[in-house]
Order: sequence, then C-alpha cells, then structure tokens
Amino acid sequence: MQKDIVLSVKGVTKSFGGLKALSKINLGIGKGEIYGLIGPNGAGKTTLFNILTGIYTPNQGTFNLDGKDLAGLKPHLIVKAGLARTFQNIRLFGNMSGLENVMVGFHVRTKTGVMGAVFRHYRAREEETNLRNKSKSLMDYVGLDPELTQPSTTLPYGDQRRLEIARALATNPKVIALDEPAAGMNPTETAGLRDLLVRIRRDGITILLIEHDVKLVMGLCDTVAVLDYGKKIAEGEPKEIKANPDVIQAYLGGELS
Amino acid sequence: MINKVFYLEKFKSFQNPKIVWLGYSLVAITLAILPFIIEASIGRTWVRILDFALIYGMLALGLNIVVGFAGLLDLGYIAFYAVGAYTWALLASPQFGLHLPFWLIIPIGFVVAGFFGVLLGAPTLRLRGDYLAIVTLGFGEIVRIFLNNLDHPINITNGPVGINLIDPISVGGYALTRTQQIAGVNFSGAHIYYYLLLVLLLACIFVCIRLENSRLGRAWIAIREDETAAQAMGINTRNMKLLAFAMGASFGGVAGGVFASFQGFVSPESFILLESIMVLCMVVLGGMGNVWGVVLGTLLLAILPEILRDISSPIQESLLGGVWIDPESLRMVLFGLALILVMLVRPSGLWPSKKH
Amino acid sequence: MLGSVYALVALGYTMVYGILGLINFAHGEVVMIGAMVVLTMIGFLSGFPAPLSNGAILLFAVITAILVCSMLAFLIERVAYRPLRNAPRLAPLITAIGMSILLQNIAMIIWGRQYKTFPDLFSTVSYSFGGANITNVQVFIIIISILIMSALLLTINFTRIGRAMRATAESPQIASLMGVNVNYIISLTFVLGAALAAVAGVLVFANYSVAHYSMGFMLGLKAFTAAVLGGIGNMAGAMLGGILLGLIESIGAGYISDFTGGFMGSHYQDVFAFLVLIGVLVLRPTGIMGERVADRT
Ligand SMILES: Nc1ncnc2c1ncn2[C@@H]1O[C@H](COP(=O)(O)OP(=O)(O)O)[C@@H](O)[C@H]1O
Ligand SMILES: [Mg+2]
Repeated sequence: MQKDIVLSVKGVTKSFGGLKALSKINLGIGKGEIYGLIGPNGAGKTTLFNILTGIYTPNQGTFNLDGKDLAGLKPHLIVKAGLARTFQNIRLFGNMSGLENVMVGFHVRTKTGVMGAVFRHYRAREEETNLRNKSKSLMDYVGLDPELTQPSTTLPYGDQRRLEIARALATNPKVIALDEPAAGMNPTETAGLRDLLVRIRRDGITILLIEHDVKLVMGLCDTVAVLDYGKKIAEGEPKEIKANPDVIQAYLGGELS
Repeated sequence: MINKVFYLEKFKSFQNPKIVWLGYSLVAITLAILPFIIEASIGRTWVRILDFALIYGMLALGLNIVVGFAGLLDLGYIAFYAVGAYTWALLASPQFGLHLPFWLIIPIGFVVAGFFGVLLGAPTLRLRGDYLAIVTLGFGEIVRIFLNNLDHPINITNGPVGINLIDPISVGGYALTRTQQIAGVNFSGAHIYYYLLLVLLLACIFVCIRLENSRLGRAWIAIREDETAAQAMGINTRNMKLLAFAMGASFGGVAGGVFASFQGFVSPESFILLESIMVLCMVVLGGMGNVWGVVLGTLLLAILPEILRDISSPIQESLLGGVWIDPESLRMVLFGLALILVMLVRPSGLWPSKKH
Repeated sequence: MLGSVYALVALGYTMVYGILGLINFAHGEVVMIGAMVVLTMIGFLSGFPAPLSNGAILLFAVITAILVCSMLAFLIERVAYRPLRNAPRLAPLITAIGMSILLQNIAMIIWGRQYKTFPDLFSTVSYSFGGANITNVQVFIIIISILIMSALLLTINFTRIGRAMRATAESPQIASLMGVNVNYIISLTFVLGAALAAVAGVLVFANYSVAHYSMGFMLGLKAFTAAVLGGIGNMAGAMLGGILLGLIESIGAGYISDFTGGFMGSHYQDVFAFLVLIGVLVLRPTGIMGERVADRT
C-alpha cells in the first residue's frame, strides 16, 4: 500500500557531546494515520520531537511537512507550517486558566497587533470573540470545562494532559505530536484519551504518538516505529512489530507479549 | 453552584450601571480636587510630590510590561527614562538652541526611547533570569556614564552639570509651569502638571489593561510562564520580547520627557541605579503583572518615604531629644527593611495579579 | 593586583550562586563592612593602655572583621534568603537588593558619610620591577590572596565538608538524600564567602587607603562580573575571572583614550567592566571555565 506521506524525516542525526542521541533516522508518517513511536527510556524519542519542533537543530538530516522543508526553522515557524506538540513533562502556562492556555494556542492563527489591542477596533474585537468561542469549543472537545478559572497547574493530572492537547490543537495543526500523553493516567483516563485520539484522527489530523503504554499503541496505531539507542530498529504495522525479534530483544522480551 | 449564586448576589450592586457610574464619578471628583485638598491641608510641596508619584506610576507601568507581563527582569530601566528626559532636554532648551513644541517632542521621545529599548533588548534575548538582570543593569550604568561624560570632546549632554532652562510644556503661549488663572481659580504649575500627568497615567493604565487582555498580553504572559512552551505554541518569542522592551521603554521615554519639562533641568544624577531599583520595587512590591497592584506599589513607595522624611526629625526630637539619625539614611534603612519584610510575608507582592 | 581582590570577592558570589542560584547583591556590602570594622578596631586597639605592636593590631582587627562579617552573612542568609528558597524567583533577588540598601545605610549611620583613610600602621615601600611599580602593600595583598584561595581550594577538593559542598551545589535534593545537612552547608557557604569578603575589604582599604560606605556596590558588581567571566559556580573560574578582569580594566583604562582617538577618557573605565560583563553573558554565558548547561525540555 502506497501511503500519502505528510511528514517525512530523512537521515536526522543528533549528538550531545559524545552521546549520539539519534543516528540517521528516517520516518514517513502517512496522512491521517496515528503513527506510534516507541522505544525504551533514553532511546531518543523526545529528542526527535525536539528536533521536529525546532527546539534543537539536527546535526544532519532534514524533515518536511507536506513537501515544505522545516529543518532548522524557528519553533514558531514550524507551528505555523502545521506541526504542533505536547510535552512529556507537562508544560502548561501555570498561572493562566485552562481557557487562556488554549487561547494562547491561537496566537499563530490570529494577527491583532498593538493598535488592535489598545483601540479594539472592529476587526480586533471580532477576532477576539471568535478565538474565545473556538477555544471554548476546543475545551469541550477534549472534555474540559471552559469556565474553570483556576490556575492550570492546579488541575488534575489527566486534565492537564488533555489541556495540553487542546492547546496544541488550537494552533490548527496538520500533524500533532504527543509525547507520552497517557503517562500517569489511570485506566479510565487512558480510555478517554484513546477516544479523544480517535476523534482527532477522524477530524483529519495526523497524530505522531510517543507512548509507553504498549497496549494503547498497539491497539490504536496504524504504523509503529521503534527506536533503540538512537537508531530505528523497526517500522511497520503493529502485528509485524510485535513479532520482530529485534524489538523483543530491545524490550527484554517481557513487555510486548 | 451555590457558591456561584451567592457570589452573584453579593456583587450585584457592582453590576448595576447606576452604582458603577456613581462610583466612577466619585473617584473622578476626588482625583480632580485632590491637589487642592492637599495644598490646603499639608502644603504645596506635597502637590509636587504627588506629581512625581504620577511620573513614577508611568515608569512602573512601563516596567511592568517588561517584568510583570513578559517576565524579563530589567534592572536598567531608568536608562529609558533618561533617554526620554535628555531627548526633551536637547530638543527644547538653549543647549542646542532648539525649542520644538511639546506635541512634536512627545512622539519623538516615545520613538527614540522605544528604539533604545529594542537596541538594548536585542543582545539580551537569549538570556534568562538573573543574567538578564545583570546585563540590563550594565546597560543602565553605561547609559548613565555616557550622559556623565559626553561633554567632551563635543559637548552634547553638558556632563555632570546637566542641562538647564528646559522649556516647559506650553499651550497657546501659556507655559504650564507658571501659575495660571482659570475661571477665577489659581492653578500653580504643580497643579496643572498634576492634571496633565494624571491624564497620562490614566492613559498608561488603559493601554496596559488593554494590552494585558489581548493576544499580545497572553503571549507575553505565556513567555513569562514557560518560554519553551510559548515557542512551541507558535509565539515568536524574539519579536514579542522586543515588543515588550520597546513598549516599556516608550512609557519610560514619555515619562522622562515630561519629567524634564516639569523640573526644568536634567542631570545624570537623576538616573542612577537606585532609581531603577526603586521602580522595580514599586512593581514587585505592589504585585508584578497586576496593573492596580503596580499603581498601589508606586503610591506607597513614592509617598511613604516622603512622609517619613518629614516626620522623622520631629519624632526623633521628641523621643530621643535630638536628631540622631540623618533622616535621609533612616529613610533608606526603612526602605531596605520594607523590601525585605514585604517579600518575606508576601513574596508575590501586596496585590498580586489574580492569576497567582 | 586588583584582580586578586576581585577574585576573593568573586569566590563568595560564585559559591552562593553555585548552590542557591541567587545573586547575593549584599555581598559587596559585606566587603565594605569588613573594611569599616578593621578601621574601627585599629582605632580602638591603638588607644589601648598596653601598647600593642602594629602587626598585632592589624591581626586582631582583621580577625574581628572576619568574625563580624561571618556572623552578618550567617544572619543575612537566615533572615532574608532561607525563608524564600521556594518563593517566586524575583522575591529573593528583591530581598538581596533590600539587604544591600539596608547595610549600606546602616553603615552610613554608624561610620558617617566621609571617606575614611587607612591609618598608617606601616610605611609603604615601592619597588620598581621591569618598568612596573609595585608597593610592599600590593605584594602583601597578592601573597595573602593566593594563600587564602589555595586553602579554600584544598578544603573544597579534599575534605569531607568540601565534598558535601560540591554535592549540594550539584543538586541540593540529592545531597540531602545522601545525608548531607543542606542548611548547614548553605550557612557554611555564606560564612566562608563572608570571611573572604572581609579579607578582601581590608585589602582594598589598605591598597587605596580610603573606605566609604558606598564602596561595596561597585566592587561587588565587578567581582560578580569576574565570577561570570570565569564561569559562575566554578571556583577556579572565579579566581581566573578576577585576575583577568583586573588586567582588562587596568589595560583598558590605560589605553582607552588611544583606542577611541581621545574621544573617551579614563572616565569610561567602568564602562569596560560592564562591557566585559555584557559581552561574556551574551556571547558565552557559561564563562571561560563553566560547563555547558543543558536546556531541559
Ligand atoms: N539537552 C540534552 N543534553 C544532553 N543530553 C541529552 C539532552 N536531551 C537528551 N539527551 C540525552 O539523549 C538521550 C535520549 O533522550 P530522550 O530523547 O529524552 O529519550 P526518550 O524520550 O526516548 O526517553 C538520553 O540519553 C538523554 O540523556
Ligand atoms: Mg521522552
């Protein structure tokens, strides 16, 4: 089956001092799929996300989104091009409310400047109401109460994870990259997250998913790639991955069965 | 839910437009007659002190954009005040024989100071926290040292002596620093400047509140809360930080210009590091990020020390039978103590922004 | 010469910053108080009925200054910094500034506004040495500084306490898990830093022969520059930074006029220190000897 590739990663290499965190990574993420990225701790998954979102620059290699080369661009330009992310260790804007966090996500898709902000002319007002309403519906979409005014860091853990997803969705991405969204969630919350991911895919957004919960990944993803010590050791459909001896080796047998 | 209803009930009076308007009018009338009350009760010098408090208010609000909103710790902010003051001084005094009208100098000061904000802000963009503080402190001192020494080989700033005989703001040939008679009431220069400064301060408050509750304000606060996450949400942190520096500096520039025209002379002494620290303390003490907190902090720090200056000698006389401690040092000792105590008791300031 | 004094003061900044991540703005004031205490003690001891030798007077005075400064720093940390260890980042910085203002003005109340001159306990001898002049006081300063700094380096690197200090600087949480009494180590750091500051205060005073209640701030700022130049948190770096800054400043001040075609005179000397500071922070924030600090994501 020939996939329609939306995000393609070619030969990305990154080292920190002597440590080669990633070597020559190639990935092809198909339009509309959920693409899982798994691997033991320290395999380089988060590092790859940091490269894809412009926080680090790769030593070698490139990646492009819908044919547009993004390697070396500043993070905000990558977001603008349509690649958004969440963080493994949640990074919300702590003292802002949930709704405000989501509203920040609309920054790249809006353009009110100083004059608009100060004089609130017609266009600025319209834009503000618009993005406030959209933010509220996004909160609903991920299952959060838009009226909550408490600082976002005081929300329950699972809510914070979902808020991060809403905030990333607010940037109107083509691809959303989620770094261990189920970490620290209980089984009910994980089930809810699973539903949310399915809905996001259904709404046409491609998902790049780092996850430790193997059951979730295998059940949800269309394609899975496995990283180990900065190298891609396998890529394919979940059932191929489960049977791959290298992968089983990397996970010391146990976890994948 | 019950809580919510109760809340609405309790504050219903605040939502009644008539009562709100009554409140606003009372505040407006108080502000309008304040200088007369003060002059009548404690003397004209206090109107001047009030004027300076208003100038400090503009400075603190400007700095609050940088420190409170964007979270960029600036310890050299007074440099922009200096830039504004010297811009005015050079364009409207015998120094170069230029006497531009105020409506030309205010925008020039705004732009020049904003330009300096970008100029000095640009190298600091990658720095965080304390390092930023030290670099801005360095810039502040460098600006002051230049003002102090640019009297040779060509005399630009007139060195440590400063520039004298600066034009006051004048409207239709009436200098606002002179006593004017309007509708049978005598308005001294301090009174007239009070109204002028009050209007400027209210404008600053308005701009700050509008900015805070906008796309730009949210972006600044996002940078303050987590710079990396802000970038990852598509905020161009470089431009937003430069904008914060420029806006903050422009407020400082306008305040500096008005200060120069009000005082009639400027010298580098007005722009020492302690002044930067003073303004920063107004912001932090009042409550970083909260416009009203900043106004409160300014009022406290601009006025309490002056009261202290007035009363410390008499109190020492009566308690100790003589003036043992020079009121100026006593004032500073208490200032230092107050900073420490307030931070120990309320590390987020007296009136923190409600989001904290 | 001046460099070795910067180095002594810079050590205090670097040790505190290494552990708490705090710029201890009050450190410069501790230096000033060291100088002032020595002045007072010399005056007091000289008036002693049983005459003491000049050397003994100076020794007593310096020891008193060290004690006073150490106690002062201990108190500062206890009162103004410790309660704020988990507060918003700006809070301890503001208390540090407050403390600096407080100490400066208390010193002004106690010792007055005048410039104080160093009592002549010994006569200055000047040696000429390859075209450069150096006084016996300066030789003495360099020797004392080197001795103290070596002792400190040995302590930090080869004793149990030193190891605990390094562990705390690395990560207070982990150190406390390993059984290090972090509060004790932090207090000790402040006390040690203050002892060095007291000595530095005496040395500056002896060299310039004047002391003033406001002498601490600029000195402190330059010493902080030195600490940053060497790589903040790094002790050897602080020493190197101090000496380098001293050199840059004296060379810069000497040639500044030539550099700028007579446009800038020696009035701009302080601009040099700031430019070095800004340059280092902007271009290489880890300093000369600092390790690369990883961004956490
Ligand atoms: N900024 C950094 N500096 C140095 N090493 C890093 C940095 N970021 C990640 N690493 C190293 O790269 C390796 C991969 O880390 P990471 O991408 O976080 O792994 P994963 O997300 O797969 O658990 C680890 O050994 C980690 O220590
Ligand atoms: Mg990871």
